Amino acid sequence: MKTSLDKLEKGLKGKIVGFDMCSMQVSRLLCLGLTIGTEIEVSQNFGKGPVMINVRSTCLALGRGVAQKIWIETLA
Amino acid sequence: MDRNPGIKSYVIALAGNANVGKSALFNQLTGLHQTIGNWPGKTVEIKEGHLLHQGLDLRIVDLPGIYSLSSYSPEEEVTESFILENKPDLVINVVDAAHLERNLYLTILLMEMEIPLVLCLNQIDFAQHEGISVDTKKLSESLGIPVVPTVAIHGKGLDELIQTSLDRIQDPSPLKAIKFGDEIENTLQSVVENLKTLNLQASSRFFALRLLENKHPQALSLDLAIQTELDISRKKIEDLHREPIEYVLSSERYSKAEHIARDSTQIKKANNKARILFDMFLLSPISGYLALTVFLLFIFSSIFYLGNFIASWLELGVSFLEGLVLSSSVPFASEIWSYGIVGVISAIEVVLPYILPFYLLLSFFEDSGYIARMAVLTDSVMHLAGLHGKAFLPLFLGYGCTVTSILGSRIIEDRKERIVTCLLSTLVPCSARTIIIMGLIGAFIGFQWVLLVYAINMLILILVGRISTRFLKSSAPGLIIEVPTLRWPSLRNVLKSTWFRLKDFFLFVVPIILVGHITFELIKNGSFINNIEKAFSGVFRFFWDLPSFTVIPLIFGILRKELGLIMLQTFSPTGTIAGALSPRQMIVYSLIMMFYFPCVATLSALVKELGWKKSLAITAFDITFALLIGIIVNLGLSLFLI
Repeated sequence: MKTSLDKLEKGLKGKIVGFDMCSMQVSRLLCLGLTIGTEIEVSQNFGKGPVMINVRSTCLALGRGVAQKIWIETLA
Repeated sequence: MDRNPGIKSYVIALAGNANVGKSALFNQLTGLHQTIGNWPGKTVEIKEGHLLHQGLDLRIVDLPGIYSLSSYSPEEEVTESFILENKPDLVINVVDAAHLERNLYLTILLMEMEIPLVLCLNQIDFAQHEGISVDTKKLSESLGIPVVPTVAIHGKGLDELIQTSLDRIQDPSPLKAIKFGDEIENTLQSVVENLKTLNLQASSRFFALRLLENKHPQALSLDLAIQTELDISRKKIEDLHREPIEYVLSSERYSKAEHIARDSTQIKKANNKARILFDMFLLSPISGYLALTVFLLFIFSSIFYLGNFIASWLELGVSFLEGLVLSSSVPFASEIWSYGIVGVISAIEVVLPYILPFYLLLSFFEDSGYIARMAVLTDSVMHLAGLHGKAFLPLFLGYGCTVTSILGSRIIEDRKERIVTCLLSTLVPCSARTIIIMGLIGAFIGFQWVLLVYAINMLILILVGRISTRFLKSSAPGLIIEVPTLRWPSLRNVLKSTWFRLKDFFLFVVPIILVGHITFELIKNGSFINNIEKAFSGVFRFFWDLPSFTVIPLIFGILRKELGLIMLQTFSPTGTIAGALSPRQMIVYSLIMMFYFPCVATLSALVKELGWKKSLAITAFDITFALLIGIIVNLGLSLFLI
């Protein structure tokens, strides 16, 4: 199922399928390893705060506004 | 640029991600002899130090922590242009052994530049603790560059690192290129062929790649035919992958990094359950905010109590020194004391007690990885003022001392956001301003008015924050940060970074405070001061309905905000403030004091962080804003007949 990253609950996994933002912002995410097809796992997600994800063996925090613009294909 | 003529000198640059122990390595290699390097055209500070080794002078340059070289941030731009323009003899790429995959992305980018490179595989002790062991031989073979395992924080492996680096400088055998997919490699090949006809000196594969990425250096003016051919081949690749070229290249680089990391890493069962549980505790909705509150109270109270403790000892020392100087037979002893020495001492006396504990704690929390977690927890609150989580700590510290607040704003990478944060910190009531507000409004009008003033202040912070971020078009798109693994900081490293920060601060700030102090001493004892009072008393009465004796305390508040209260008491004609000022005048005076001018110490911190132009702009804003607020509040309150 396709959804934006901020909708993914803590503990769920997904695969990055696309971005909905300016190219400069995409560049920053790409060089942090959020390339298309990369698997991520949400490690924290509550309130209006940032979404924390585990990606490529490190942990990233993405502001909610950023997370809303990242498209994810959920994985079982 | 050789400082030691006759001695052979090499430039070695350290490059790496943030949080990989790069500064620890730099500190270990260069000891206590560091300066801000004087490299041409730099917007970001580059630290530099020397290491004398086997009769060689090694100039070690610490480049900023970065994740890529795409020149979207000043740090990345500085790193790339430093390497291209200054051509260091060697680059040591510092990577974190526990997060190899992420770190190798930058390694691959550096390898594309075809520069002499050594990989420093740092923090192997920590990686082992996490159950990760790296086969350095295998890693070195797959990358084609020397790899040296180190624990920089304890100085382990550094001799070998330096020896390997020197060997590499002597014998820079060509790098094995990390290959992209065939279609990209073929395109690169043909671009390289085309570039050869142009007789370019720089490594052509690297330039070909930059051209294909559409990030070509401006100095390179291309022939139209080549340009068109480039566009066509770029389009071909994009059509094939159905993605922009940037996505394709970064995907390929990351999948290389992933493969190399996986092939050379072995993961065993980790011994980190306690850490993971503690981290969850720090980041969960309820316990996380609880812990944050406790930490903030701890930071605040230790700055306050430890600061007062240090201050009282300093005071003892100062009065002892004063006795010594005044009783000495040196001619003009008392003049030297009151014009020169007191200035220096007051600079140290006012700020040292509070910035010493602050720097210690800042270094501690930075090294532990908690600052990033603090940003995560406070991000949504900071959105109210148009800022992000990283601005929380500096602004919070502003309630203690504006100087610490401005120095702390350095943790914010985005420059525009940093400017807004600095502007807001000058508006946060520091402890000295709290003393004025409590001493006037609290003591004579009532505590509920104090609370009201603080609430209004917060509202103003939010408004000014929102308007100024919009005005500056702060492009910060939202929080994007790596949250480093929690770890216990090394005391040595905390002490060292505290020392460097203190040194930096005093070398810069003491002269400015000294000049300010001498100027005030000179005008204090003359008719000048009466003239000032006379000149301004009309204005003060007209706009703010303030009596003329408030002029001098308000001006002297520039030196130290507390003087705004102390001198008010001494200057008031009736001997007590209550008899000389009405409640409305007290509120107006306090509000003007709250906003109007960053004290001298704050101004010098501002200049240090932002330069003169922006500091003066912030000062001008503060003064105008304070005077306007004074007029508005005076008018508003007089309507209510207070």
